[in-house]
This record gives sequence, structure tokens and C-alpha cells, in this order.
Amino acid sequence: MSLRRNSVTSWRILLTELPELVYDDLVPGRRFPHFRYEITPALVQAFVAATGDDNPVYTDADAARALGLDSPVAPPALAGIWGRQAYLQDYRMPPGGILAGQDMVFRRPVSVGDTLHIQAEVTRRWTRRDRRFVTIESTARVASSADTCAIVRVTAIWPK
Amino acid sequence: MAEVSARTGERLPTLRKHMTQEIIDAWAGVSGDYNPLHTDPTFAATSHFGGTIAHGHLPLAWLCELLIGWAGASWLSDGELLGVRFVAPVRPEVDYEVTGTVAGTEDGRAMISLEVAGPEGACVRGKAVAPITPTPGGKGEAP
Repeated sequence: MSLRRNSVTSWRILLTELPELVYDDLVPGRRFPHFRYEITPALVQAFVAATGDDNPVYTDADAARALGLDSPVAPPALAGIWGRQAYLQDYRMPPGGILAGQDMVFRRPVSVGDTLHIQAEVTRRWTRRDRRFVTIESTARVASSADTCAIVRVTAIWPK
Repeated sequence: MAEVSARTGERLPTLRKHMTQEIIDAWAGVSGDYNPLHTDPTFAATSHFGGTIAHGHLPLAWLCELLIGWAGASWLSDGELLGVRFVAPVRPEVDYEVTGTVAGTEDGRAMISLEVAGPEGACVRGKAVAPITPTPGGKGEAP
């Protein structure tokens, strides 16, 4: 089953049907299928409503142009979402996982309306004090370009 | 895109935030992350956290808001968040401060120390890199 979309309303039902992504399957070097993530105006509005970050550069074309941008841009913190969904597109996280660390590198703005193509890869896993840690790196480019626009590295404590 | 000026020791304008369960639930809808540690008070009460906690990406979004507010849109094309560590949970119904301090400047970029702190201390720490226009007298001043 594939969840290559970012519909807010259908996630919860579909997630219960997915297999858990478990530590034993997270072998360094494993690559997940390419993940498509569309930056829709509705997604940006939902982000703004959830976080309260109402910077007009995300929603107002004039504000974006005043800063030298072609059009409104995606909030960079959305990288936290696509960086996670890129490895969970066909799985669900076992209950109890905890985000331990994160890096984000931004190389070019992403416009609202762009579709990202994302490749996630397990880069490291280890145990410490009986806790299992995994680092997964996701690299994104805009569909119309070969250039990387952002890289996200997630380190999580894996529950099982 | 215009770049910001910076000098070592400069403090970025502080963001003051209040976390709520409603914000956490809204983020679950945006992100698709319905981990019961975040959204199910009954489940979370049985965990070692003793109650729900915010997704780590929410304080991370605060850090991004702080950095774009200070560095402007140039941070979107040459910005980094590095070594962000979640050292304590961000909990609902608690006030937080999101702060940043320029730790140094070099080659037209500022290194910034970041923190999200509540009444019991730091919850999130990290660093950022942002493009800048060097300030006269600063380390990154052009020759």
C-alpha cells in the first residue's frame, strides 16, 4: 500500500493499516522508494494554523517579491514532515518512538505549488544504554530541477 | 535576497511561545504523526513522561521562525540547522522562550547558538548557520 500523498484527513485511518517499521529492518545503506511531497496552499495554511507562524512570505506574493523571491515559499519546518514521511510512506512508526536529534540544510527556496522528490536512506544505527538509535537522511529536490533543495537528517530512538 | 548584518554576541529577538494540546493535535493533522505520546493523554500518562509531549518538530518550527525572522529569506537558500538535540520534553500548557545568540562570524556566515527553554530549563538546543553581511569589527569583516 502506498501513501504517497499528504492529505491531512486520511492519514489517521490509513496509518493503522500499515506495517510497523522496526529497528531490525533499518540496516545502514537501506534506501526507501522515492517520495513525492506536494507543497499545496492548503498544507501551508494548515502549517500556519498549527504553529502560529504567520510570516507573509509563506502566503503573500507581494511579501515574497519584496524579499526577492518569485512567489510565496514553503515554510522550511515542513522539512521535518517530509523528512519523516519519506521513510514512513509505506510503514507506520511503532508507538513510543522519540525524536532525539535533527539537522536541516537548505540550499534553495521551495515555492508553494512545487512538488518535492525525496530520497531517504538509513545512514547509521546503534545502541546506547539499552536504547536503539537510528539516523535517516532524506534529500529533496524540486521535481523540475536536478539540484538538491534541502537535506534532513533525523535521529530517533526506535521503540522496537 | 538581502543579507543581514551580525556581530558576535548579538542576541536574536526572542520568541515567546505557549504550547497547548490543541497545537499538538493540529500538528498531528499536518504531519500525519499520531504517536500516542503526543495525542493520547491516557496512553501518555502511562509513559515515563507522565503526560503528552509536543512533537519535536514543533519547537524545531519555532527555531525556523526565529531564524527567518532574523536572517530573512536568504536563510532558505543558504541556511542550516545543525546538531539540534531534544534534551527535555516540550509539554502542553507551558510557556517557552526561543532564543539565539551569534556565536561567531566567518566567511560571510554567522554561527548561532539556539535554545528553547521552559520554566525548568532548556528543552531543545542546537546551532544554526546563516548568511550575513559582516559588521565592521566583526570576525567576518571583508578585507
